[in-house]
Amino acid sequence: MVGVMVGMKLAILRNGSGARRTIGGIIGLALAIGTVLVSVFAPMEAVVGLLAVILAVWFVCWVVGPTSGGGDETLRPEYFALEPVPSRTLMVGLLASSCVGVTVPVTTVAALSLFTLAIRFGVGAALVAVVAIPLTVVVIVLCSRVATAATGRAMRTRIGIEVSAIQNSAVLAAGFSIFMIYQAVSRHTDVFALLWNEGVAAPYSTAALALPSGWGLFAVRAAGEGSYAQAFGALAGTAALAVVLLVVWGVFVRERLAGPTTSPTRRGRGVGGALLRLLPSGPMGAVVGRELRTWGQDPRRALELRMALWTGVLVCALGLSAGLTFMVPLAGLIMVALAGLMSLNVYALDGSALWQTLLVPGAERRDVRGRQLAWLLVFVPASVLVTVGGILFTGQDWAWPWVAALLPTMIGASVGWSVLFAVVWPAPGPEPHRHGGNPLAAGDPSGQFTLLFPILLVSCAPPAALTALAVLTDAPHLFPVAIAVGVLEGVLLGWGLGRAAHRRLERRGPELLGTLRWGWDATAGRSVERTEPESSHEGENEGEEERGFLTRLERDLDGMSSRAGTALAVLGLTFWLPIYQGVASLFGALVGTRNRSWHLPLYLPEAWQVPVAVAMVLLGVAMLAAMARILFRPVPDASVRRREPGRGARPPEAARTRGS
Amino acid sequence: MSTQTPAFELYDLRKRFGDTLAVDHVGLTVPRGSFYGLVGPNGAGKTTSLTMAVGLLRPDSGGARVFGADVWSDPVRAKSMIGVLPDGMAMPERLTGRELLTYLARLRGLARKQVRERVDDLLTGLGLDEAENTLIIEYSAGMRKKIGLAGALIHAPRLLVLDEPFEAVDPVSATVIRGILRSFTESGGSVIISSHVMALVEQVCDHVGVIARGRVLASGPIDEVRGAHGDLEEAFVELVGAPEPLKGFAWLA
Repeated sequence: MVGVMVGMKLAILRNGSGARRTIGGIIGLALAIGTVLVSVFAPMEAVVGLLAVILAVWFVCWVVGPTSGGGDETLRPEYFALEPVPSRTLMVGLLASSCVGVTVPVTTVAALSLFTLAIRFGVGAALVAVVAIPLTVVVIVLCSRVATAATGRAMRTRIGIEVSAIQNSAVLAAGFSIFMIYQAVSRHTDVFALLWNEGVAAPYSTAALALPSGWGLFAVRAAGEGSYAQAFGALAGTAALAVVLLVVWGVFVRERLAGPTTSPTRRGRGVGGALLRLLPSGPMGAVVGRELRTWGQDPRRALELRMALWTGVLVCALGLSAGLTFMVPLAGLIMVALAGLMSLNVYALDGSALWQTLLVPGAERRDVRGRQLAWLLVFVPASVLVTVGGILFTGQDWAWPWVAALLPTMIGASVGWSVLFAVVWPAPGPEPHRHGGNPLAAGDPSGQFTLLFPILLVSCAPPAALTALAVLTDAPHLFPVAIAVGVLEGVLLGWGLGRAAHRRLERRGPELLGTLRWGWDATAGRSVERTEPESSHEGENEGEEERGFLTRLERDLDGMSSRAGTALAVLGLTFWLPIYQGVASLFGALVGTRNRSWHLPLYLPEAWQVPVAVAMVLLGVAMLAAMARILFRPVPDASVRRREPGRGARPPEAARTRGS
Repeated sequence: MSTQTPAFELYDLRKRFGDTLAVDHVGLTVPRGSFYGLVGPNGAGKTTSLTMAVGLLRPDSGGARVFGADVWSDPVRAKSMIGVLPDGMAMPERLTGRELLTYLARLRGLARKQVRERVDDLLTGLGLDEAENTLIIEYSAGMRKKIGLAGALIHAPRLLVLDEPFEAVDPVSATVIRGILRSFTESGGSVIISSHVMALVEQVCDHVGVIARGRVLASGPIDEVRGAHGDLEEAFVELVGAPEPLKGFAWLA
């Protein structure tokens, strides 16, 4: 049975697309090799603490990553619900099949660092490492599985949603803050050299060793120091933990197979019960009401809403606790940007429910505008409150002009771009009424994420540049101009992109419905590219040629191949790095700063600094140009650009067999 | 609009998915006030035809007219006159039954008083009043059909397009639904349903269309289609062609 399940997973992987896995695998492998290199080259007195922390990071990624994304659902326990196999066999089979793929092998490579470290200790430690490596990997995978299952279960309750949201937000907030914290600390000391030579301070390294990912490392160190009793104790403890986790996971899976998908008769009120009564009774009010209720009652959306809000709050808290008060005024901006990112897939989350909108005359515009209004009602008050409260509380008056100019732009950009993304480029997931036991299951919009994030940043550039100019030239009369530009840009983006979205929905509603209905391959557990009949496009494209870049952008995004999408995502994620490095280094070189930080050109001989910095800026601009080229590439013939035929011919089958 | 204009007219509908021609020049006419049954085996193209005819799937060619208004070129007029119950599609799952109906009524621009009256009537009439505070996602398959039907009725359309409305519905509710639909046609409304239960179609419909492999094999008043056959099922089997009789599998003793 176990072999059959592994074979099944392999077959599904074989039928799937490999581009994303390849990229993920390469990045993961690079990180894993980095982990091994640390174990080989770090100074002996620091290596155990460093490795413990690095393995802890791997562990946290394993535990938190899937719980926010729904987890690996390639082989669902439901598939085997009717098979006459003991549940122990089923659990071992699920575990074994989840080891097939990219993530587990990559993690195993990282865990090989235990062996390379053990060699430095001696033969005994190396033998212990041979046992510790598989145990560590299995325990990490099982922890991830149990955490995902527990989250899925917890999402049925309000408190569970709250806890999961805080967990995920803590990781996000740390991600946002870590660079700033590093910047602040590195003013006083060279953090990396300190860490490398002296290791991680005791409480942190001890905590990292105490995590399940550190037990194998503890065993190796104990063996290296000659205390084999401790080493075997740690190994036995890891093995026992693995068994316990397997049993707990089994309990969750059995419960999922037997239990209802949601708690019985839950009467949710959604967000703002009082607000709902105040809404106008017209069609627009109806959509806003539906959206507000859904933000409150759909576990997936409730989680995303809370993640955006909590991340903002936690950035404030982290900033305050680390004495970095300059971050506090930015929390509202981060909140709004995240809220935009979180809601860029709202149409796909609602699945084929779009049919009701399409069947009501004139409802497309109201649906888009209603969603935008609801988004504003949910996120704007909170972000304004956090921003204003944060500034008043920390007394940082310098922030007022920045926030007054940037917050309106960010709000408009988020509410405009996210709804346009949702209509133009959805990442379909399983239908909401066919989730199975996992209420978080949804399409994977990471490509859209990586594109929207830089777009939001770039959208804020004009008011930011004006405010910066006002500050640098000490010209306070420019502040109102910057604020006016910011407000105007925000209104234009929110209104104009929303308009593009509802016009698109009016023209291509049935196509979007098709994507949402059949764009998800239930057997492979992922989105599929759809082939659409040519004739549905031809008549339309003729009249559109002269309608400018937005139409072309829509069309190109719609027909984008997965390779172009991946390239776009990678460029979008990295283009700012050379630009930032170049500009900061130019500034540093010209002003003659002594704090080189991580601005690479400043580490070069003086003669090279400026040319290299300029080259980096040019590189960033070239990357932007490449993105623009992918987005706006000319399409000579609509019928040529369609995606690979063959795959994706599945939807019609589904259509035919299900219905008539 | 002359009195001869049919309630619903599907003309020359065609749809190809990859290599499969799912719908091949389908044309049907639903006269005013008729109760029309669309029957056919699994995979015949019933759902695809109806989905294209109401404007939810773009046909390769052809189209549909609702009381003369073309669904694809004059969608606003056409859509204001039809109520649709598709099969297997999602709804705003995180609303309760009452919230969903209220939402749909307000989306159609009904006045506040009308909204409350109709929602109450529909919930009570379809036996959903006990479940009105339950989220749609927790509904059973039969309850989903009933709330979907209520949603299709709320704006008092003149034509109902219902895909498998009786599937998974218990006998008592089925009787209720039949009663509602019959009184709807008696007061001048028109209904088209799809089904593969011949006895049901024979019992409730006055017109029938038989569709198989994407083509219309026969259509018209039910007596005409039945012809000399004993019942509709016999006529259907002759039209569609009976499969080779299978005696069972040797290993399945």
